[in-house]
Amino acid sequence: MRGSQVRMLEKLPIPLSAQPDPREAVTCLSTGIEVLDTVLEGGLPRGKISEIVGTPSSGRTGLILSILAQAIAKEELVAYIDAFDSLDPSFAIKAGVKLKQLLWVRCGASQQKAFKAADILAPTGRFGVLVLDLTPIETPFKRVGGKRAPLSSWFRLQRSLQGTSTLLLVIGQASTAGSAAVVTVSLRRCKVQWCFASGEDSSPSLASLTPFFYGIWTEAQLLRGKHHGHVTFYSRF
Amino acid sequence: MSRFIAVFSSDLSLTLPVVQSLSSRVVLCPPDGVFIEVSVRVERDILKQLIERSDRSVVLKTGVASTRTAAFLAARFCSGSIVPAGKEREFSATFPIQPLFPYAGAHPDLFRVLDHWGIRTIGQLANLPERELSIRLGEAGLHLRRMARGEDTEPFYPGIAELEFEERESLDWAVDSLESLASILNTLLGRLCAQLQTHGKATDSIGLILKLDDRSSYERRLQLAYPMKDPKTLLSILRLKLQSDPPRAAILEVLLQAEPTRARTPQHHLFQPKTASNPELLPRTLARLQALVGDGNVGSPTLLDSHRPDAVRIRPFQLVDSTKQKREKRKSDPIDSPERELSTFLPIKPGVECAPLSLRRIRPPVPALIRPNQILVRAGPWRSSGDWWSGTSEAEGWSHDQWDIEFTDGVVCRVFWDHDRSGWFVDGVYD
Repeated sequence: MRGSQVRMLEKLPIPLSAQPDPREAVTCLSTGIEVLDTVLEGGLPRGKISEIVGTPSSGRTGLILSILAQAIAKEELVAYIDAFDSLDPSFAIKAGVKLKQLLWVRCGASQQKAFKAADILAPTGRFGVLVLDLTPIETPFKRVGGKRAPLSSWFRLQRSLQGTSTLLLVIGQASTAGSAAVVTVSLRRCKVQWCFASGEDSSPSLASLTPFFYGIWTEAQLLRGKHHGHVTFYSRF
Repeated sequence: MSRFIAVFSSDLSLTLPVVQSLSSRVVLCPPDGVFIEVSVRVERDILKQLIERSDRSVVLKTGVASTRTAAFLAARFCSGSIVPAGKEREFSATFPIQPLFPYAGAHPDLFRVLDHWGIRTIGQLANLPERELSIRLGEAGLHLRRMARGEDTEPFYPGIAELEFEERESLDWAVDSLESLASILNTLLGRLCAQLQTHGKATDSIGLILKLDDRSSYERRLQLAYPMKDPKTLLSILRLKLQSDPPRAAILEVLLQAEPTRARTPQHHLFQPKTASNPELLPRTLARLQALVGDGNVGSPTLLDSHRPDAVRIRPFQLVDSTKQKREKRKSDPIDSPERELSTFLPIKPGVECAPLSLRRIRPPVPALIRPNQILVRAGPWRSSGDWWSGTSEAEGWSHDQWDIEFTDGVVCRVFWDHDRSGWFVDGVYD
């Protein structure tokens, strides 16, 4: 090809098929907690898998409800795949979740069914946020867990999310999605706060006063993502 | 000037499609009639076309007048007549009053009273003085008198709300395989969706009734998340339902019923693939989920009007109409809106972020043996009871003492003492 022909080709507009796909542009969904959004650089990425992990009473479910409320505020549909049937809709309403826009899938303590449900819902792209709650039942008296899913299942889910604007959020006790997840936020309970009848915060040693459960201080650490960092926020009724 | 054609048919299911092909301004006159609103210039043409297009086996009685009441009387007593405008009262004066009663919805006792007074014809009823009739028979008497004078007592609202969309197939021999049943359903759904298409409707609820070989019946109703009229999608939804919940015997008769609703046109997004924004794919996705986790486990949660802990019900998931939603949002009281609930999560200190706190429920609550040395802090009890008045069974009522407990390992649980079962149970974990 001669130099003049090359110059002529360079002047031609780039065809649409050769341009980068606008769908590939990653958009983020806010978590509703400003300090966490700052660490996450705007929020959790859509079209990808993100994980929120932590011990019991560390504020994982509250954070998930806050994210669902953010998506619902944008008139999006959200889905909650509940492996162990643990969602309480009355608390979801308090967090700002409109139940009409929430699809609740109760899997009857079956992680396998929860995975299959995620496989069905992820490629549709109808839902702004898809929560896959694999947190086992964990009380001081009863523990019901499930098997760890193979990494190939997570990559299949990740592949089916591509090209959609669905954010797949996985809650669990520990990270299970491995490198299939682009963001992993680990939550740790710092302090449980009790309010006493006098109305002032006090140490639990003041047993003579009537206590009320007030909230939990949580430290969030970004285990996987573009940057690493940690922030503290408060969960309360 | 509008005129009305009253049509009474020996088989309305055959006549109605013909009537609807001629005019959209149609209203039913139960049990076997229909009124068509036409203009005075085309009334004869439409009447002619109606007779030409109708099945020859169907017996039709027609009447044309300026009011529906006069058209009704013309069709009943003098079929084929066209009453000139303003001549309704003279036309029906000699007709007996008895057939007017079911049309007017009047009580049969009124007929006996009028008969006792010697009122036999519509003309005699129309000539009764208004004030005296009102004193003796009240509003019902005046209503009858207005009709006898050929007047309409209600405004004309076109639309056939009572129209039923159903298809039935009786089988020569019992069918026991899903594949055979699917081919029958395919034919029926094709006809049903064609009917819906003709009337510009879609369906968001499909009823499947199967008569079985063991003389029982299998009745299921599927609520669809989005109104649709595509037979292929509906067939796949019915197949998934039948796979997850098969009938217990071979099938002798199939009946499909569709509840008509307004058809919606999906609005596709400019930068999203069509599959993502096509709402007609959602009902099939939900049917697949239902087949996976079972009925009653997929849908939108709804809180019941009860103080019972965990009073929640799942109802079928419906796609929210965005325009309707915006209208509701504008109307809704800001005091009850979730946005107000959100605003209660104020930071306790300036600069401290607040997230909502939730309870992870354990369903059903697990029994617990709580030792005092496990407890770090406790709050309570909050006593609640209810439904003890509703029945004799102890399972229906509840009586709880609820506590919030922080255990030594840092987990905060909601536990309760059940007075009926005399034991501690864990309701959930705050998370």
